[in-house]
Amino acid sequence: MIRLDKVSYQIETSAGAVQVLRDIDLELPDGSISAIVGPNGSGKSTLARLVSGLLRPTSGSVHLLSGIGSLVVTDVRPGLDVGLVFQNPDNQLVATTVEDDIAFGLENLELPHAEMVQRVGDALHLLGLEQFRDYPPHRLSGGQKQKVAIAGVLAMKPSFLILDEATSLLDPTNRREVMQTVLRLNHELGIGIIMVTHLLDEVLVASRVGVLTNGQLAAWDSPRAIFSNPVVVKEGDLVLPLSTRASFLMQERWTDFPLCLTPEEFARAACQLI
Amino acid sequence: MSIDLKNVDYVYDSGEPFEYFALRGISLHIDDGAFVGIVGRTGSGKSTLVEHLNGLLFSTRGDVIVDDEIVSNQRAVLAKVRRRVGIVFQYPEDQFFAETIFEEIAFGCRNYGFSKEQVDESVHKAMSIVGLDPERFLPLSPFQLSGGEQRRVAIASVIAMGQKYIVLDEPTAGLDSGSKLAVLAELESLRQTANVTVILVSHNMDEVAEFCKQVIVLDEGTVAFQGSTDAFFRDADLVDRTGLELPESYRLARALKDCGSTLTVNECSTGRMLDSLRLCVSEQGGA
Repeated sequence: MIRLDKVSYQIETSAGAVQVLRDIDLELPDGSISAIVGPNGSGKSTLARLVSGLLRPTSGSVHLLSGIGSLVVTDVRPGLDVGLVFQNPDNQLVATTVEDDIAFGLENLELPHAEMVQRVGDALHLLGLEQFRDYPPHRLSGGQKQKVAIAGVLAMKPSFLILDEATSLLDPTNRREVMQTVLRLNHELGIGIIMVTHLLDEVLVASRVGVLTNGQLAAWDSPRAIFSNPVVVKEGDLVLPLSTRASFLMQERWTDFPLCLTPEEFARAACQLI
Repeated sequence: MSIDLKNVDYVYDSGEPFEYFALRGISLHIDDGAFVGIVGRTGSGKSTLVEHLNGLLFSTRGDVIVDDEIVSNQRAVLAKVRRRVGIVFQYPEDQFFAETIFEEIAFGCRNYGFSKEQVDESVHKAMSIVGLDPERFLPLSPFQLSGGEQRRVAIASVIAMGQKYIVLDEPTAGLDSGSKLAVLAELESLRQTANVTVILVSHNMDEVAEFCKQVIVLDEGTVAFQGSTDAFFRDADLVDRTGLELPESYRLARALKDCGSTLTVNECSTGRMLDSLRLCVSEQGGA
Protein backbone atom coordinates (compact mmCIF):
# COMPACT_ATOMS: atom_id res chain seq x y z
CA MET A 1 0.00 0.00 0.00
CA ILE A 2 1.12 3.55 -0.69
CA ARG A 3 0.18 5.99 2.05
CA LEU A 4 0.24 9.77 1.77
CA ASP A 5 0.14 11.66 5.08
CA LYS A 6 -0.59 15.40 5.04
CA VAL A 7 1.35 15.82 1.79
CA SER A 8 1.91 19.40 0.67
CA TYR A 9 4.01 20.64 -2.21
CA GLN A 10 5.04 24.16 -3.07
CA ILE A 11 7.21 25.67 -5.76
CA GLU A 12 9.19 28.90 -5.59
CA THR A 13 8.61 31.36 -8.41
CA SER A 14 9.79 34.92 -8.99
CA ALA A 15 6.37 36.01 -7.70
CA GLY A 16 6.80 34.05 -4.45
CA ALA A 17 5.85 30.58 -3.26
CA VAL A 18 2.95 28.80 -4.97
CA GLN A 19 1.16 26.05 -3.08
CA VAL A 20 0.50 23.29 -5.64
CA LEU A 21 -0.88 20.64 -3.28
CA ARG A 22 -2.14 21.02 0.28
CA ASP A 23 -2.60 18.40 3.02
CA ILE A 24 -3.34 15.37 0.87
CA ASP A 25 -4.18 12.20 2.82
CA LEU A 26 -4.56 9.14 0.64
CA GLU A 27 -4.25 5.36 0.87
CA LEU A 28 -3.73 3.32 -2.29
CA PRO A 29 -4.10 -0.41 -1.50
CA ASP A 30 -1.97 -2.99 -3.34
CA GLY A 31 -3.62 -4.16 -6.53
CA SER A 32 -6.28 -1.43 -6.54
CA ILE A 33 -7.36 0.71 -9.49
CA SER A 34 -7.69 4.43 -8.79
CA ALA A 35 -8.34 7.48 -10.93
CA ILE A 36 -7.31 11.08 -10.27
CA VAL A 37 -9.43 13.76 -11.94
CA GLY A 38 -9.71 17.54 -11.77
CA PRO A 39 -9.41 20.65 -13.94
CA ASN A 40 -6.19 21.68 -15.76
CA GLY A 41 -3.80 23.13 -13.19
CA SER A 42 -5.39 21.40 -10.17
CA GLY A 43 -2.19 19.49 -9.32
CA LYS A 44 -2.92 16.05 -10.82
CA SER A 45 0.47 15.53 -12.47
CA THR A 46 2.31 16.85 -9.40
CA LEU A 47 0.43 14.33 -7.28
CA ALA A 48 1.40 11.55 -9.71
CA ARG A 49 5.06 12.55 -9.40
CA LEU A 50 4.86 12.66 -5.61
CA VAL A 51 3.26 9.21 -5.42
CA SER A 52 5.94 7.82 -7.75
CA GLY A 53 8.74 9.32 -5.67
CA LEU A 54 9.98 11.56 -8.51
CA LEU A 55 9.20 14.59 -6.35
CA ARG A 56 9.58 14.89 -2.57
CA PRO A 57 6.81 16.61 -0.64
CA THR A 58 7.57 20.01 0.93
CA SER A 59 5.89 18.66 4.05
CA GLY A 60 4.16 15.40 4.95
CA SER A 61 5.24 11.96 3.78
CA VAL A 62 4.76 9.37 1.03
CA HIS A 63 5.47 5.82 2.16
CA LEU A 64 5.28 2.31 0.85
CA LEU A 65 3.82 -0.11 3.39
CA SER A 66 4.68 -3.71 2.67
CA GLY A 67 5.38 -7.08 4.32
CA ILE A 68 3.18 -9.81 5.64
CA GLY A 69 2.78 -10.01 9.42
CA SER A 70 5.07 -7.18 10.43
CA LEU A 71 4.67 -4.00 8.43
CA VAL A 72 7.69 -2.51 6.67
CA VAL A 73 7.53 1.22 5.98
CA THR A 74 9.88 2.51 3.30
CA ASP A 75 10.26 5.48 0.96
CA VAL A 76 8.92 4.98 -2.55
CA ARG A 77 11.76 4.30 -5.01
CA PRO A 78 10.89 5.90 -8.37
CA GLY A 79 10.78 3.38 -11.19
CA LEU A 80 11.31 0.40 -8.89
CA ASP A 81 8.22 0.56 -6.70
CA VAL A 82 6.12 2.82 -8.87
CA GLY A 83 6.40 3.13 -12.66
CA LEU A 84 5.19 6.27 -14.40
CA VAL A 85 3.90 6.47 -18.00
CA PHE A 86 3.37 9.92 -19.51
CA GLN A 87 1.05 11.35 -22.13
CA ASN A 88 3.38 11.47 -25.09
CA PRO A 89 5.33 8.24 -25.73
CA ASP A 90 7.74 10.11 -28.03
CA ASN A 91 9.09 11.83 -24.93
CA GLN A 92 10.00 8.61 -23.18
CA LEU A 93 11.38 6.33 -25.86
CA VAL A 94 15.17 6.57 -26.02
CA ALA A 95 16.72 3.58 -27.80
CA THR A 96 17.02 2.51 -31.44
CA THR A 97 15.15 -0.79 -31.06
CA VAL A 98 12.12 -1.78 -29.01
CA GLU A 99 14.16 -4.39 -27.15
CA ASP A 100 16.89 -1.91 -26.17
CA ASP A 101 14.29 0.60 -25.11
CA ILE A 102 12.66 -1.85 -22.73
CA ALA A 103 16.08 -2.84 -21.36
CA PHE A 104 17.15 0.76 -20.77
CA GLY A 105 15.91 1.08 -17.19
CA LEU A 106 17.11 -2.41 -16.27
CA GLU A 107 20.64 -1.60 -17.35
CA ASN A 108 20.90 0.74 -14.39
CA LEU A 109 20.03 -2.02 -11.90
CA GLU A 110 23.22 -4.07 -12.37
CA LEU A 111 21.16 -7.23 -12.92
CA PRO A 112 22.79 -10.43 -14.19
CA HIS A 113 22.52 -10.64 -17.99
CA ALA A 114 20.26 -13.70 -17.93
CA GLU A 115 17.79 -11.99 -15.62
CA MET A 116 17.69 -8.94 -17.87
CA VAL A 117 17.01 -11.04 -20.96
CA GLN A 118 14.27 -12.84 -19.06
CA ARG A 119 12.59 -9.62 -17.88
CA VAL A 120 12.71 -7.97 -21.32
CA GLY A 121 11.26 -11.15 -22.83
CA ASP A 122 8.49 -11.23 -20.24
CA ALA A 123 7.63 -7.56 -20.79
CA LEU A 124 7.52 -8.04 -24.59
CA HIS A 125 5.26 -11.03 -24.10
CA LEU A 126 2.92 -9.33 -21.60
CA LEU A 127 2.27 -6.47 -23.99
CA GLY A 128 2.15 -8.60 -27.14
CA LEU A 129 5.15 -6.84 -28.65
CA GLU A 130 7.33 -9.87 -29.52
CA GLN A 131 7.03 -9.26 -33.27
CA PHE A 132 8.39 -5.72 -32.81
CA ARG A 133 11.47 -6.73 -30.79
CA ASP A 134 13.96 -5.42 -33.37
CA TYR A 135 11.83 -2.55 -34.69
CA PRO A 136 12.92 1.07 -34.34
CA PRO A 137 10.30 2.59 -31.96
CA HIS A 138 9.64 5.58 -34.25
CA ARG A 139 8.21 3.23 -36.89
CA LEU A 140 5.42 2.12 -34.53
CA SER A 141 1.93 3.61 -34.21
CA GLY A 142 1.02 5.78 -31.21
CA GLY A 143 -0.65 2.91 -29.37
CA GLN A 144 2.26 0.56 -30.01
CA LYS A 145 4.74 3.20 -28.80
CA GLN A 146 2.73 3.69 -25.63
CA LYS A 147 2.83 -0.08 -25.08
CA VAL A 148 6.62 -0.04 -25.47
CA ALA A 149 6.78 2.71 -22.84
CA ILE A 150 4.60 0.61 -20.51
CA ALA A 151 6.76 -2.47 -21.19
CA GLY A 152 9.90 -0.54 -20.20
CA VAL A 153 8.25 0.51 -16.96
CA LEU A 154 6.94 -3.02 -16.25
CA ALA A 155 10.34 -4.64 -16.76
CA MET A 156 11.36 -2.91 -13.53
CA LYS A 157 8.66 -4.99 -11.76
CA PRO A 158 6.97 -2.11 -9.95
CA SER A 159 4.06 -2.80 -7.60
CA PHE A 160 2.20 0.25 -8.93
CA LEU A 161 1.79 1.76 -12.38
CA ILE A 162 0.78 5.40 -12.79
CA LEU A 163 -0.63 6.47 -16.15
CA ASP A 164 -0.55 10.27 -16.47
CA GLU A 165 -3.05 10.83 -19.30
CA ALA A 166 -1.26 8.00 -21.04
CA THR A 167 -4.03 7.37 -23.58
CA SER A 168 -5.14 10.90 -24.43
CA LEU A 169 -3.14 11.05 -27.69
CA LEU A 170 -4.40 7.68 -28.95
CA ASP A 171 -7.29 6.88 -31.26
CA PRO A 172 -10.26 4.92 -29.85
CA THR A 173 -8.94 1.52 -30.99
CA ASN A 174 -5.46 2.06 -29.57
CA ARG A 175 -6.91 3.55 -26.39
CA ARG A 176 -9.12 0.53 -25.83
CA GLU A 177 -6.18 -1.80 -26.47
CA VAL A 178 -3.86 -0.01 -24.04
CA MET A 179 -6.61 0.10 -21.39
CA GLN A 180 -7.37 -3.61 -21.81
CA THR A 181 -3.67 -4.36 -21.41
CA VAL A 182 -3.47 -2.27 -18.24
CA LEU A 183 -6.53 -3.95 -16.75
CA ARG A 184 -5.09 -7.36 -17.59
CA LEU A 185 -1.82 -6.46 -15.83
CA ASN A 186 -3.85 -5.47 -12.79
CA HIS A 187 -5.88 -8.66 -12.91
CA GLU A 188 -3.10 -11.15 -13.64
CA LEU A 189 -0.12 -9.61 -11.83
CA GLY A 190 -1.92 -7.64 -9.14
CA ILE A 191 -0.18 -4.41 -10.12
CA GLY A 192 -1.86 -1.36 -8.58
CA ILE A 193 -3.04 1.15 -11.21
CA ILE A 194 -3.38 4.91 -10.77
CA MET A 195 -4.77 6.84 -13.74
CA VAL A 196 -4.61 10.60 -14.09
CA THR A 197 -7.30 11.21 -16.66
CA HIS A 198 -9.99 13.37 -18.25
CA LEU A 199 -11.68 10.40 -19.88
CA LEU A 200 -14.91 8.99 -18.57
CA ASP A 201 -14.28 5.36 -19.58
CA GLU A 202 -11.13 5.35 -17.49
CA VAL A 203 -12.83 6.89 -14.47
CA LEU A 204 -15.53 4.22 -14.59
CA VAL A 205 -13.13 1.27 -14.27
CA ALA A 206 -11.59 2.66 -11.07
CA SER A 207 -12.74 1.47 -7.68
CA ARG A 208 -11.77 4.83 -6.14
CA VAL A 209 -11.72 8.27 -7.73
CA GLY A 210 -9.87 11.24 -6.28
CA VAL A 211 -11.10 14.70 -7.28
CA LEU A 212 -8.48 17.45 -7.05
CA THR A 213 -9.46 21.09 -7.02
CA ASN A 214 -6.95 23.87 -6.39
CA GLY A 215 -4.45 21.45 -4.93
CA GLN A 216 -6.81 19.87 -2.43
CA LEU A 217 -8.49 16.50 -2.46
CA ALA A 218 -12.18 17.46 -2.70
CA ALA A 219 -13.38 13.85 -2.72
CA TRP A 220 -12.09 10.26 -2.62
CA ASP A 221 -14.86 7.80 -3.39
CA SER A 222 -16.36 5.30 -5.84
CA PRO A 223 -17.26 6.64 -9.33
CA ARG A 224 -20.96 6.21 -8.50
CA ALA A 225 -20.67 8.24 -5.31
CA ILE A 226 -18.63 10.92 -7.11
CA PHE A 227 -21.12 11.33 -9.96
CA SER A 228 -24.08 11.48 -7.59
CA ASN A 229 -22.57 14.37 -5.64
CA PRO A 230 -23.42 17.60 -7.47
CA VAL A 231 -21.00 19.69 -5.38
CA VAL A 232 -18.05 17.46 -6.23
CA VAL A 233 -19.07 17.28 -9.90
CA LYS A 234 -19.14 21.07 -10.11
CA GLU A 235 -15.91 21.68 -8.18
CA GLY A 236 -14.03 18.99 -10.08
CA ASP A 237 -15.29 20.36 -13.40
CA LEU A 238 -16.50 16.87 -14.30
CA VAL A 239 -18.83 16.26 -17.20
CA LEU A 240 -21.51 13.81 -16.14
CA PRO A 241 -21.96 10.76 -18.35
CA LEU A 242 -25.01 11.20 -20.59
CA SER A 243 -26.52 8.11 -18.96
CA THR A 244 -26.22 9.76 -15.55
CA ARG A 245 -27.88 12.95 -16.78
CA ALA A 246 -30.60 10.81 -18.34
CA SER A 247 -31.04 9.03 -14.98
CA PHE A 248 -31.62 12.36 -13.21
CA LEU A 249 -34.23 13.14 -15.84
CA MET A 250 -35.96 9.83 -15.17
CA GLN A 251 -35.87 10.46 -11.43
CA GLU A 252 -38.03 13.55 -11.90
CA ARG A 253 -40.83 11.20 -12.91
CA TRP A 254 -39.83 7.91 -11.21
CA THR A 255 -38.14 8.91 -7.98
CA ASP A 256 -36.59 5.49 -7.34
CA PHE A 257 -34.95 5.22 -10.80
CA PRO A 258 -31.30 4.22 -10.13
CA LEU A 259 -28.35 6.42 -10.95
CA CYS A 260 -26.74 4.83 -14.02
CA LEU A 261 -23.22 5.34 -15.31
CA THR A 262 -23.32 3.59 -18.70
CA PRO A 263 -25.85 3.34 -21.56
CA GLU A 264 -26.22 -0.41 -20.99
CA GLU A 265 -27.01 0.08 -17.30
CA PHE A 266 -29.52 2.79 -18.17
CA ALA A 267 -31.25 0.63 -20.76
CA ARG A 268 -31.58 -2.26 -18.27
CA ALA A 269 -33.09 0.02 -15.66
CA ALA A 270 -35.45 1.60 -18.20
CA CYS A 271 -36.67 -1.81 -19.36
CA GLN A 272 -37.46 -3.00 -15.86
CA LEU A 273 -39.43 0.14 -15.27
CA ILE A 274 -41.92 -0.02 -18.09
CA MET B 1 -16.77 28.75 -52.63
CA SER B 2 -15.44 25.50 -51.28
CA ILE B 3 -12.50 23.16 -50.87
CA ASP B 4 -12.48 20.26 -53.31
CA LEU B 5 -10.15 17.32 -53.73
CA LYS B 6 -10.31 15.40 -56.99
CA ASN B 7 -8.81 11.93 -57.11
CA VAL B 8 -5.88 12.84 -54.92
CA ASP B 9 -3.06 10.35 -54.34
CA TYR B 10 -0.16 11.04 -52.05
CA VAL B 11 2.70 8.59 -52.24
CA TYR B 12 5.68 8.63 -49.88
CA ASP B 13 8.95 7.52 -51.53
CA SER B 14 7.25 7.23 -54.92
CA GLY B 15 9.05 4.79 -57.21
CA GLU B 16 11.28 3.53 -54.39
CA PRO B 17 11.15 0.05 -52.86
CA PHE B 18 9.38 1.46 -49.77
CA GLU B 19 6.76 3.30 -51.84
CA TYR B 20 3.72 3.89 -49.64
CA PHE B 21 0.30 5.30 -50.53
CA ALA B 22 -0.74 7.60 -47.66
CA LEU B 23 -3.74 8.84 -49.66
CA ARG B 24 -5.39 6.94 -52.49
CA GLY B 25 -8.01 8.38 -54.84
CA ILE B 26 -9.38 10.93 -52.35
CA SER B 27 -12.28 12.99 -53.69
CA LEU B 28 -14.11 15.25 -51.31
CA HIS B 29 -15.97 18.49 -50.98
CA ILE B 30 -16.04 20.90 -48.05
CA ASP B 31 -18.66 23.65 -48.20
CA ASP B 32 -18.05 27.23 -47.23
CA GLY B 33 -19.19 27.89 -43.66
CA ALA B 34 -19.45 24.22 -42.67
CA PHE B 35 -18.26 22.60 -39.43
CA VAL B 36 -16.68 19.39 -40.70
CA GLY B 37 -15.07 16.57 -38.77
CA ILE B 38 -12.22 14.47 -40.12
CA VAL B 39 -11.97 11.14 -38.29
CA GLY B 40 -10.21 7.83 -38.71
CA ARG B 41 -7.80 5.61 -36.83
CA THR B 42 -4.11 6.44 -36.41
CA GLY B 43 -2.34 6.10 -39.74
CA SER B 44 -5.52 6.51 -41.81
CA GLY B 45 -4.12 9.62 -43.52
CA LYS B 46 -5.76 12.47 -41.57
CA SER B 47 -2.63 14.54 -41.05
CA THR B 48 -1.37 13.94 -44.60
CA LEU B 49 -4.76 15.08 -45.92
CA VAL B 50 -4.78 18.19 -43.77
CA GLU B 51 -1.30 19.18 -44.93
CA HIS B 52 -2.57 19.24 -48.53
CA LEU B 53 -5.17 21.88 -47.72
CA ASN B 54 -2.72 24.77 -47.51
CA GLY B 55 0.15 23.50 -49.60
CA LEU B 56 2.42 22.01 -46.95
CA LEU B 57 2.31 18.87 -49.07
CA PHE B 58 1.48 18.58 -52.77
CA SER B 59 -0.50 15.70 -54.19
CA THR B 60 1.37 13.07 -56.20
CA ARG B 61 -1.66 12.88 -58.53
CA GLY B 62 -5.00 14.70 -58.60
CA ASP B 63 -6.02 18.26 -57.72
CA VAL B 64 -6.59 20.12 -54.47
CA ILE B 65 -8.78 23.13 -55.19
CA VAL B 66 -9.30 25.95 -52.69
CA ASP B 67 -11.92 28.47 -53.89
CA ASP B 68 -11.26 27.68 -57.56
CA GLU B 69 -7.50 27.92 -57.07
CA ILE B 70 -5.61 24.71 -57.84
CA VAL B 71 -2.98 24.34 -55.13
CA SER B 72 0.51 24.17 -56.60
CA ASN B 73 3.99 25.10 -55.52
CA GLN B 74 3.95 28.37 -57.46
CA ARG B 75 4.76 31.23 -55.12
CA ALA B 76 1.75 33.39 -56.01
CA VAL B 77 -0.70 30.50 -55.69
CA LEU B 78 0.75 29.36 -52.37
CA ALA B 79 0.56 32.87 -50.93
CA LYS B 80 -3.12 33.06 -51.90
CA VAL B 81 -3.98 29.62 -50.54
CA ARG B 82 -2.22 30.20 -47.24
CA ARG B 83 -4.07 33.48 -46.77
CA ARG B 84 -7.26 31.42 -46.92
CA VAL B 85 -6.45 28.25 -45.02
CA GLY B 86 -4.95 28.28 -41.51
CA ILE B 87 -3.88 25.18 -39.60
CA VAL B 88 -3.66 24.71 -35.83
CA PHE B 89 -1.42 21.69 -35.29
CA GLN B 90 -1.45 19.26 -32.36
CA TYR B 91 -0.04 20.77 -29.19
CA PRO B 92 0.35 24.22 -30.78
CA GLU B 93 1.53 25.68 -27.47
CA ASP B 94 4.76 23.71 -27.86
CA GLN B 95 5.63 26.24 -30.57
CA PHE B 96 5.35 29.36 -28.39
CA PHE B 97 8.41 31.56 -28.62
CA ALA B 98 7.46 35.20 -27.96
CA GLU B 99 7.88 37.15 -24.73
CA THR B 100 4.29 38.33 -24.49
CA ILE B 101 0.98 36.95 -25.64
CA PHE B 102 0.50 40.06 -27.79
CA GLU B 103 3.75 39.37 -29.66
CA GLU B 104 2.86 35.69 -30.00
CA ILE B 105 -0.45 36.43 -31.71
CA ALA B 106 0.81 39.43 -33.70
CA PHE B 107 3.63 37.44 -35.31
CA GLY B 108 1.56 35.82 -38.05
CA CYS B 109 -0.38 39.01 -38.80
CA ARG B 110 2.83 40.99 -39.31
CA ASN B 111 4.10 38.30 -41.68
CA TYR B 112 1.00 38.92 -43.78
CA GLY B 113 1.85 42.60 -43.91
CA PHE B 114 -0.93 43.90 -41.67
CA SER B 115 -0.54 47.58 -40.67
CA LYS B 116 0.11 48.39 -37.00
CA GLU B 117 -3.57 49.27 -36.48
CA GLN B 118 -4.74 46.10 -38.23
CA VAL B 119 -2.42 43.98 -36.09
CA ASP B 120 -3.73 45.62 -32.94
CA GLU B 121 -7.34 45.15 -33.94
CA SER B 122 -6.89 41.53 -35.09
CA VAL B 123 -5.08 40.52 -31.91
CA HIS B 124 -7.77 42.01 -29.66
CA LYS B 125 -10.55 40.48 -31.69
CA ALA B 126 -8.95 37.02 -31.70
CA MET B 127 -8.45 37.15 -27.93
CA SER B 128 -12.08 37.94 -27.29
CA ILE B 129 -13.21 35.20 -29.67
CA VAL B 130 -11.29 32.60 -27.65
CA GLY B 131 -12.68 34.05 -24.44
CA LEU B 132 -9.55 35.61 -22.94
CA ASP B 133 -9.65 39.17 -21.62
CA PRO B 134 -7.13 41.14 -23.77
CA GLU B 135 -6.39 43.74 -21.09
CA ARG B 136 -5.41 41.11 -18.57
CA PHE B 137 -3.65 38.58 -20.77
CA LEU B 138 -1.90 40.39 -23.64
CA PRO B 139 1.05 41.70 -21.56
CA LEU B 140 1.68 38.29 -19.89
CA SER B 141 4.17 35.69 -21.04
CA PRO B 142 2.46 32.77 -22.83
CA PHE B 143 4.49 30.45 -20.62
CA GLN B 144 2.73 31.70 -17.46
CA LEU B 145 -0.65 30.33 -18.54
CA SER B 146 -2.45 27.10 -17.68
CA GLY B 147 -2.74 24.41 -20.36
CA GLY B 148 -6.26 25.42 -21.36
CA GLU B 149 -5.33 29.10 -21.64
CA GLN B 150 -2.22 28.29 -23.69
CA ARG B 151 -4.29 26.28 -26.15
CA ARG B 152 -6.67 29.22 -26.57
CA VAL B 153 -3.80 31.63 -27.21
CA ALA B 154 -2.43 29.25 -29.84
CA ILE B 155 -5.83 29.09 -31.53
CA ALA B 156 -6.13 32.89 -31.32
CA SER B 157 -2.79 33.25 -33.10
CA VAL B 158 -4.25 31.47 -36.12
CA ILE B 159 -7.70 33.10 -35.94
CA ALA B 160 -6.08 36.56 -35.85
CA MET B 161 -4.85 36.14 -39.41
CA GLY B 162 -8.47 36.11 -40.53
CA GLN B 163 -8.37 33.05 -42.78
CA LYS B 164 -11.74 31.76 -43.96
CA TYR B 165 -10.87 28.08 -43.51
CA ILE B 166 -9.46 26.96 -40.16
CA VAL B 167 -8.21 23.42 -39.71
CA LEU B 168 -7.59 22.17 -36.17
CA ASP B 169 -5.77 18.92 -35.45
CA GLU B 170 -6.97 17.55 -32.09
CA PRO B 171 -7.48 21.00 -30.54
CA THR B 172 -8.97 19.59 -27.33
CA ALA B 173 -6.54 16.72 -26.55
CA GLY B 174 -5.34 17.05 -22.96
CA LEU B 175 -7.83 19.79 -22.03
CA ASP B 176 -10.24 19.37 -19.14
CA SER B 177 -13.91 18.95 -19.96
CA GLY B 178 -14.81 22.58 -19.27
CA SER B 179 -12.05 23.96 -21.52
CA LYS B 180 -12.89 21.40 -24.23
CA LEU B 181 -16.47 22.56 -24.55
CA ALA B 182 -15.49 26.22 -24.31
CA VAL B 183 -12.96 25.95 -27.16
CA LEU B 184 -15.43 24.13 -29.44
CA ALA B 185 -18.28 26.49 -28.63
CA GLU B 186 -16.00 29.43 -29.50
CA LEU B 187 -15.21 27.86 -32.88
CA GLU B 188 -18.92 27.33 -33.54
CA SER B 189 -19.68 30.96 -32.76
CA LEU B 190 -16.81 32.06 -35.01
CA ARG B 191 -18.34 29.96 -37.78
CA GLN B 192 -21.73 31.58 -37.27
CA THR B 193 -20.58 35.18 -36.89
CA ALA B 194 -17.70 35.32 -39.39
CA ASN B 195 -18.76 32.50 -41.74
CA VAL B 196 -15.45 30.76 -41.07
CA THR B 197 -15.29 27.13 -42.19
CA VAL B 198 -14.09 24.91 -39.33
CA ILE B 199 -12.40 21.59 -40.11
CA LEU B 200 -11.88 19.54 -36.97
CA VAL B 201 -9.60 16.50 -36.82
CA SER B 202 -10.59 14.53 -33.73
CA HIS B 203 -10.53 11.15 -32.02
CA ASN B 204 -13.32 12.21 -29.68
CA MET B 205 -16.56 10.94 -31.22
CA ASP B 206 -18.75 12.66 -28.61
CA GLU B 207 -17.45 16.06 -29.66
CA VAL B 208 -17.70 15.20 -33.37
CA ALA B 209 -21.35 14.17 -32.88
CA GLU B 210 -22.07 17.35 -30.94
CA PHE B 211 -20.37 19.95 -33.15
CA CYS B 212 -19.79 18.60 -36.68
CA LYS B 213 -22.80 18.38 -38.99
CA GLN B 214 -20.68 16.78 -41.69
CA VAL B 215 -17.98 14.18 -41.31
CA ILE B 216 -15.24 12.75 -43.51
CA VAL B 217 -14.12 9.28 -42.44
CA LEU B 218 -10.72 8.08 -43.61
CA ASP B 219 -9.61 4.46 -43.63
CA GLU B 220 -6.25 3.35 -44.97
CA GLY B 221 -5.84 6.48 -47.05
CA THR B 222 -9.25 6.35 -48.69
CA VAL B 223 -12.56 8.07 -47.95
CA ALA B 224 -14.73 5.45 -46.22
CA PHE B 225 -17.63 7.85 -45.72
CA GLN B 226 -18.52 11.49 -46.28
CA GLY B 227 -21.80 13.08 -45.45
CA SER B 228 -23.96 13.77 -42.44
CA THR B 229 -22.40 12.88 -39.09
CA ASP B 230 -25.72 11.50 -37.95
CA ALA B 231 -25.93 9.09 -40.90
CA PHE B 232 -22.42 7.85 -40.14
CA PHE B 233 -23.06 7.13 -36.47
CA ARG B 234 -26.32 5.36 -37.29
CA ASP B 235 -24.28 2.81 -39.23
CA ALA B 236 -22.70 0.99 -36.28
CA ASP B 237 -21.03 -1.61 -38.52
CA LEU B 238 -19.25 1.04 -40.56
CA VAL B 239 -18.18 2.83 -37.37
CA ASP B 240 -16.69 -0.42 -36.11
CA ARG B 241 -15.06 -1.32 -39.45
CA THR B 242 -13.30 2.04 -39.60
CA GLY B 243 -11.83 1.51 -36.12
CA LEU B 244 -13.96 4.18 -34.46
CA GLU B 245 -16.49 4.07 -31.64
CA LEU B 246 -20.06 5.25 -31.18
CA PRO B 247 -20.70 8.44 -29.20
CA GLU B 248 -22.38 7.81 -25.85
CA SER B 249 -25.74 9.15 -27.06
CA TYR B 250 -25.86 6.69 -29.97
CA ARG B 251 -24.87 3.85 -27.65
CA LEU B 252 -27.71 4.83 -25.33
CA ALA B 253 -30.29 4.85 -28.12
CA ARG B 254 -29.11 1.44 -29.35
CA ALA B 255 -29.07 -0.06 -25.87
CA LEU B 256 -32.67 1.07 -25.29
CA LYS B 257 -33.75 -0.38 -28.62
CA ASP B 258 -31.88 -3.67 -28.05
CA CYS B 259 -33.59 -4.37 -24.74
CA GLY B 260 -36.96 -3.48 -26.19
CA SER B 261 -37.68 -0.50 -23.97
CA THR B 262 -40.79 1.52 -24.72
CA LEU B 263 -38.61 4.57 -24.26
CA THR B 264 -37.58 4.95 -27.87
CA VAL B 265 -35.36 7.87 -28.62
CA ASN B 266 -33.77 8.75 -31.91
CA GLU B 267 -30.06 8.32 -32.20
CA CYS B 268 -28.60 11.80 -32.05
CA SER B 269 -26.12 14.03 -30.29
CA THR B 270 -26.07 14.49 -26.51
CA GLY B 271 -28.08 17.72 -26.23
CA ARG B 272 -30.89 16.63 -28.52
CA MET B 273 -30.91 13.17 -26.92
CA LEU B 274 -31.80 14.61 -23.51
CA ASP B 275 -34.56 16.73 -25.03
CA SER B 276 -35.99 13.76 -26.86
CA LEU B 277 -35.83 11.66 -23.70
CA ARG B 278 -37.56 14.39 -21.69
CA LEU B 279 -40.39 14.46 -24.22
CA CYS B 280 -40.64 10.68 -24.13
CA VAL B 281 -40.78 10.62 -20.32
CA SER B 282 -43.53 13.22 -20.18
CA GLU B 283 -45.60 11.27 -22.74
CA GLN B 284 -45.18 8.08 -20.71
CA GLY B 285 -46.08 10.02 -17.58
CA GLY B 286 -49.39 11.04 -19.12
CA ALA B 287 -50.24 7.50 -20.17
